[in-house]
Amino acid sequence: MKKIILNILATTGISLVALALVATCYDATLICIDTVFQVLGLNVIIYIGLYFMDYIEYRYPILETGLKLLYVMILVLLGGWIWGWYSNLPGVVLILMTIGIFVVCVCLDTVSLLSEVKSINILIEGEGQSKNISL
Amino acid sequence: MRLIMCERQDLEEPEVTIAYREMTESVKRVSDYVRYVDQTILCKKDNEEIAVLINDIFYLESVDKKVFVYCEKEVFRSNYKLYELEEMLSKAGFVRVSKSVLLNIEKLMGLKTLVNSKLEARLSNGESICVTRKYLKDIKSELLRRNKG
Repeated sequence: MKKIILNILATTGISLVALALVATCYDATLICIDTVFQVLGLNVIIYIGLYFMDYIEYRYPILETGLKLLYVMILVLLGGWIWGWYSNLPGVVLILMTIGIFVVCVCLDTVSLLSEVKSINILIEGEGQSKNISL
Repeated sequence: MRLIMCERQDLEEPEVTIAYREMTESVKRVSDYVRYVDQTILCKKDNEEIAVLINDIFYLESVDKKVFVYCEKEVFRSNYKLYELEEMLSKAGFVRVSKSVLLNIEKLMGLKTLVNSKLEARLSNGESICVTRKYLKDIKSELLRRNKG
């Protein structure tokens, strides 16, 4: 639960930074409070779906990544339509932003996974050494 | 923890007595180990029923609603369902590592991430099995529990 909340907040932060960078290209000078909450709400919904998608075991990792990206993209485009983002931002830019944020999140996730695997291997090594000492 | 070994000719089978002041994690771990060291599960091979020692099992896998028990060199079949075996063997150091596999954590030598983002567990007999990321926290919890002792 803690990890999911952290992921939601991290992705919201990354999304807002990406939005700010893109908005700067359109000479924007501020982001509305509404937008901040919309982005947060959208990330909550996205992560709830991703949580349930993790229960499915995919044969091919690329299929898993593709489906997740498709799911995120559909929600973002739907959210953009509901909250009127297209009046300020072209759809193509929104799609490119979503892909960019998704790639950043996948990279961070991979780093986290490698770190987790490393810590488990250290625990396994520690257990092996303690078995050798007791023998 | 002190170990005192005592040879007694009047005993029919080995007896283990654990004397402790307080039930700590390490005492619990020793008692769980002793409880399960000789425990067996009934399996089948070539229509013959065989009692397989839990400590000899590397992993159990469910395929097409059948559960196969993998030891170092032999494979048996079990009539139990995987979830039933998971309940029976959870205190004996078996953890679920994917939807259809229960692994004996004693046999785990290391984890590796593959190029295609999959996870692979290397076992002490040289075999490798796939691990789903969702179960990493269970593997870590079991290892932490064992290392505390």
